[in-house]
Amino acid sequence: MRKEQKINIITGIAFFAYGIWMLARGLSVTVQGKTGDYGPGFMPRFIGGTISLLSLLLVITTLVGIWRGAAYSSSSKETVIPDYKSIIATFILLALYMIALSPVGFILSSVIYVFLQIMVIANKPSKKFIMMSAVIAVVMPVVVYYVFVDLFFLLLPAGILG
Amino acid sequence: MVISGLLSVCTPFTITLIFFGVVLGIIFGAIPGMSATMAVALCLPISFGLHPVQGISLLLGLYIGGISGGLISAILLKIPGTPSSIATCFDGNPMANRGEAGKALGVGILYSFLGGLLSFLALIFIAPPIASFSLKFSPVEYFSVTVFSLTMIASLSEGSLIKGLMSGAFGLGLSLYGSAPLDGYKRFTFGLWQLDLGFALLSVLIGFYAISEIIETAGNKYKVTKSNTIQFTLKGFGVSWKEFCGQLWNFFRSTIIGIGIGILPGIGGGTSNIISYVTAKSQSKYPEKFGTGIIDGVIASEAANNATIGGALIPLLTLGIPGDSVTAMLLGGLMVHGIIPGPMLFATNGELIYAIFAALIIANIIMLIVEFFGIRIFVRLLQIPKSILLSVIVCLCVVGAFAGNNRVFDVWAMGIFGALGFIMLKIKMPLPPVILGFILGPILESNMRRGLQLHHGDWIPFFTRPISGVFLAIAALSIIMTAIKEIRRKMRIKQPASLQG
Repeated sequence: MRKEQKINIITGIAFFAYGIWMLARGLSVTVQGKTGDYGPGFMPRFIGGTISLLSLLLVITTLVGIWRGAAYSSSSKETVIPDYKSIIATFILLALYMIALSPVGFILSSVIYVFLQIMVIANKPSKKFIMMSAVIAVVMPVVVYYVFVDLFFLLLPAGILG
Repeated sequence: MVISGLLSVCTPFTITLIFFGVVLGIIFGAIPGMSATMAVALCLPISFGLHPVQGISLLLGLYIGGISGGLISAILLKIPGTPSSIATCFDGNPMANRGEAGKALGVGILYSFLGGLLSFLALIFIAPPIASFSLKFSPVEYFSVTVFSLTMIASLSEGSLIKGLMSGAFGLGLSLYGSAPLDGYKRFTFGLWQLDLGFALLSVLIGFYAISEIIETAGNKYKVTKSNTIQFTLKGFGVSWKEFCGQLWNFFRSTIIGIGIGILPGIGGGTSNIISYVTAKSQSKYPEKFGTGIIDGVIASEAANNATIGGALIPLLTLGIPGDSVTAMLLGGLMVHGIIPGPMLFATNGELIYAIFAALIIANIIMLIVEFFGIRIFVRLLQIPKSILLSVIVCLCVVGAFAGNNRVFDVWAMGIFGALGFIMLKIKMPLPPVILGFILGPILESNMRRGLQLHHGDWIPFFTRPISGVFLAIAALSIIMTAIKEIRRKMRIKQPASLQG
């Protein structure tokens, strides 16, 4: 089984489960609409059903492809293996940033996040690059905060600095 | 109404906003991996604090800049900054390699401007009659037009048709969270009051389009290399009067293709430039020269992609139907200001419509000037490391998600949608259908339910009312045609495989 076929089957199963869940939630809506109206439960039932059917179709067509031994079309072959360490680090950084936003405040959490995120994405950064990144990480959030809060009158979490 | 619309745009502050929008749009358009869609999504929060005309003018500037900016990297780096400039690479880059980068850029900028201008004139003349015609639309017709848009989107999604349809259905499903239309019944809220009104538009848009991109870039960091741009000198627009006259038909044909494709929901500049290029090549007296670096190819691509802007705004403004992901974002921008596009907008808020027309023309002129005189600065900006750009963009994403409702919940939702978007990119599920499904979902549901109420639960009028029937028939036809195309494609793949076996 090729990688793409494996992905299709897992995707199909996951979406099938989601579709069934949505369908079930739709069926549990007992509220009726006015004359002729199908009520608020119809769309979840319809969309849930459609998702389940389509995902089933995806699994079936993939299985038929495997059974027939058909060469699966892969328009863009990935020759470069993704850097999973950076992806996981980015996920963690994003999660921490969003959690810290309210208690710590926009400016402080953004400064730390931007600097660490640049370091994660940058490929073998030089000393000069690290210094420049640190300056950008401090200046940008401060500028963004004052532009949005003072110029566009938007609210941003002030946190411990507020 | 016309004059007051024009005057509301012709203020120093609004023109400055358009200028800012065009410049930022060009930067986003020029840098591969960053798109006009992302630029509009990021600037939606800025438009909150502005007057509707000012906010919309800014977004339109971003749209025009974002589509035009793609030609810079297409010609100089052979990487299209946006999908709208794919065909510009075919002849633009060979010209640049031959030492004619200045000429290729000049021609590209000039015909982007002209293509855009002609399409805006088409918009100004075509939109009002369509709007007055669609005033006759009942919820039944709106439902059918929405279904038509959805099928076009799903059927045109790259790769697998089933996955495209699944993405569209997934987006529609996301729009069901929160209060149902008409009766306000709460669905899928899990007892969270933050979900009473559903997911915030900005959390979904920014999450899927910007955050997913950051995670993707983090995974491809070894691919991020410093690009070598080609040196050039830009004198005039690089086109002689004789060449201009010789290219007139190519220009008109490409612009008409661009406008036509823009009007059709689901197909945007990403398709129009390629179709226009292929048409120009097939109708040329010297098709063999295409791809070797001739201005015909650059004109065909650049006139068509900018003409798509005016075309795509026709269904958006007259019916409230977005044609692609950028116009979906613009629809979001209008909704943020409490403006619901559609025929009623022409009747009740004509001033805003004329302001939009004026803003488009001004943005187009600013695009011409800024790209012509500022091209060297944009080329330098291509050198800024993506690690810095994208990390700073996350900051702006957070501002965008938070500012809508002033709550951290929307920021978390944005993060979750970003992760979801990244996973969908990895499993090759197209993202545009998700966005369009999410935006069209409430329009679809409310019109379906209103239509059914109107006809006492009878579906037959949906098929027998002429306009509604035609749209549903085209929708069915487009799905069938795509399915046939998909089956044929799979058969073609299978044949060589069986020959090998």
